[in-house]
Amino acid sequence: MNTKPDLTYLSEMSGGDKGLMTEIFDIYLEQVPEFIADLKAGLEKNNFELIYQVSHKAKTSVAIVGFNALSAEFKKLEQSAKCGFENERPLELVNALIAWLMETQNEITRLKNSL
Amino acid sequence: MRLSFKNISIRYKLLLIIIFITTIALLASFVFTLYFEKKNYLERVKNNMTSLAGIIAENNTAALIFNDTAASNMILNTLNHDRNILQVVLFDARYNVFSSYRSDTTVDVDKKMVMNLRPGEAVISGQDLNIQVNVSDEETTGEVIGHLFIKRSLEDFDVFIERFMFFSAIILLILLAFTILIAGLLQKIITSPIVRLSQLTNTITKTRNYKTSLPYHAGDETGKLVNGFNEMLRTIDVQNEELVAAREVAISNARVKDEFLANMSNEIRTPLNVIVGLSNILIDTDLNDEQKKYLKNIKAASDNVLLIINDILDYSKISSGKIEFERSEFPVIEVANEVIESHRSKAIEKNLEIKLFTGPGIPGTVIGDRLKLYQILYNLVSNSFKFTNQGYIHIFIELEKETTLVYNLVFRVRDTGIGIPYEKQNLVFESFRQASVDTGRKYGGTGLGLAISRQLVEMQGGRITMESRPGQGTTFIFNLMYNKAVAEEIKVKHAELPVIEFEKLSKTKLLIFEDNQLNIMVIQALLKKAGLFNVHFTSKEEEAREYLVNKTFDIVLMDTDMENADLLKLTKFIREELSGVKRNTPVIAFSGELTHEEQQNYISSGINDFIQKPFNPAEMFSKLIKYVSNK
Repeated sequence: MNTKPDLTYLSEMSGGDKGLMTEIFDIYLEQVPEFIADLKAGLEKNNFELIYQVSHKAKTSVAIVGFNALSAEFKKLEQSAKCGFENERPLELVNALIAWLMETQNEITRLKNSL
Repeated sequence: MRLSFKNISIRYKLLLIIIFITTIALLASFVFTLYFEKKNYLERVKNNMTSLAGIIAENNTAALIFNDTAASNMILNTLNHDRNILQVVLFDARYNVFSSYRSDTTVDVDKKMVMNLRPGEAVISGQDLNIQVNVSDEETTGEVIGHLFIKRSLEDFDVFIERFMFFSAIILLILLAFTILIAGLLQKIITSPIVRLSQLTNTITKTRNYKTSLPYHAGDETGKLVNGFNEMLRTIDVQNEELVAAREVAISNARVKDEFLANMSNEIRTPLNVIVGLSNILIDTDLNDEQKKYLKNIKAASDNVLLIINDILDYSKISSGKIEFERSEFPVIEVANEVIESHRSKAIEKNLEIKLFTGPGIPGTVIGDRLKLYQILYNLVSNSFKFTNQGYIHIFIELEKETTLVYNLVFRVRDTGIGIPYEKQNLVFESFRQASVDTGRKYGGTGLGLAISRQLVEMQGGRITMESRPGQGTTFIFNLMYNKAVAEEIKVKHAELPVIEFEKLSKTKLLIFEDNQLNIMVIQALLKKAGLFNVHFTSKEEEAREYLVNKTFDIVLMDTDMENADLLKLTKFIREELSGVKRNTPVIAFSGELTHEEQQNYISSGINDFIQKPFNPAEMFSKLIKYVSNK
């Protein structure tokens, strides 16, 4: 599990503007608990449509702050959820990604404080 | 739309009319049949009863003569097989009951009624038919020896009517079903070309493609209508093509004219320069006072002509699109000072103060076209000099906004001149116009200076306006965006942006339809970097529609992954419900990776292009520029 974000995109885009980066991190930190809550709710109620929507949105958000591997995972999850998890077990897949999301939360909080 | 006969489809109109007419015809025929049946029935019953009464009367003659009641009763009782015969009564000559038969024993015979009946005539009374015949002794004297009365019920006709109605209703229903079936088949022949015509009209209204026609050939009215419609489409198409051709000719004519003007001016300028130059040399030679005076006049006149020619040359260059903007580093304040210096002698001559004021944060150097800034300021200051006889002419430069890459500078030229009358203020930037015809005579000038300045400002992405009070003075205000001189490195390293197009982008008005806060932040940051400030964000479809109706945007950007909104619906709204240029507003979708099929689906719904998420600045700007340039 790669927990180090690749900040190339973010620093290029913001031109190294620390204020802007802090703001983006803040929004990301607001979004992650929502993603986690929605993913859990989707699992509990077997609501694959919800899982599909969350992964769709999370895909972009995690990519912006540089978790490219996680973004790719969400893309896979999005595809699987769309097909109703034909050959996979959603529980393990989604729980793994929830754990990963929590990791990114710590990572981004640490990064934000070091800015 | 209210549901009324007028509003329903021709298909159903025809069907309704056919059903209506069929029903009326069938009902009418039933009513007639019924009427004649009844008449027929009554006549038949009357005739039957008359002959029956006659026969029974004759059979009873003997019984009456021999006073044989039992025989008479027997004869009368033979009628009991006919359930319709209610009463048969045989009276003697004095109307005493001799014998009788009654199917219904409860009713007594009304003797008075019987006596009032004319012998041999059947009379209908209510639901019954009554008849009375005389019984006479024909063998002897023919004397009347008795009266026979028969009452017959007419209720059997009601039974007939009931049956008739029942079968009629069934026939009516079957016929109606047939009618609907046949009408449904037949009306297609009539309505299908009309329906197709109306569909085609709809398509044409939406697509504005007149190069089409409806293949339908028939000699009837519909055929003529379709032919007429096709003919009309051809005419419109031909006219459109002619208009396009005419427009091209007009544009090319205008260009030829501008080129001619430019060439002529150039041809005139060369010899004029010789005249001015030689006059300058000549003035320093040994001349007497009178000669010097003439020469000065010649020089002043040629200077004037040269100025005018230069104006015309600039103007025609601008309007023929031949003007190019340089991009090099230059000091802004120095340019303003040069303009002031070139007017210094005139200021002393007219006793006017001319001065430059600068606000805080004005950069030392910027990247842009130095000569064009000089020209704009020079034109505005010269204009002020023309109309100012006392007081001052001041130039102000201020920093309005600064982004990572761009300075937005505001320039003001303020004078204490005669001012411009309110009703003429909107004319001053137009070509060849001055506040009044007199102005030209009194103050000189071609009326091109301000028009040239306006075009030079606008072509660099700025805006020029003016404020003026008659008698108190005029202020011209314009802004220009210049790239930062030191920012060059950053740009190349980070985004590889097409730098030249920034002026164009900075004027762009955007509507962004997005609900992901993180995306909004990133988009905002990217746009700010390019000096794009005219941006509206919304995440609500309703609000987006309101914006689109009330404002005009250069580009609309939408996210394909919005939770509670449908960008296809919004695109449809733009393409079908907005009017004029708004309808063609480019729509770019922010999307993830799309399959070819998905892309095609979006494109056919009216979306022009895609920007992939997460946003790559270079891609984003090049797409924006592409659609701004296309306009």
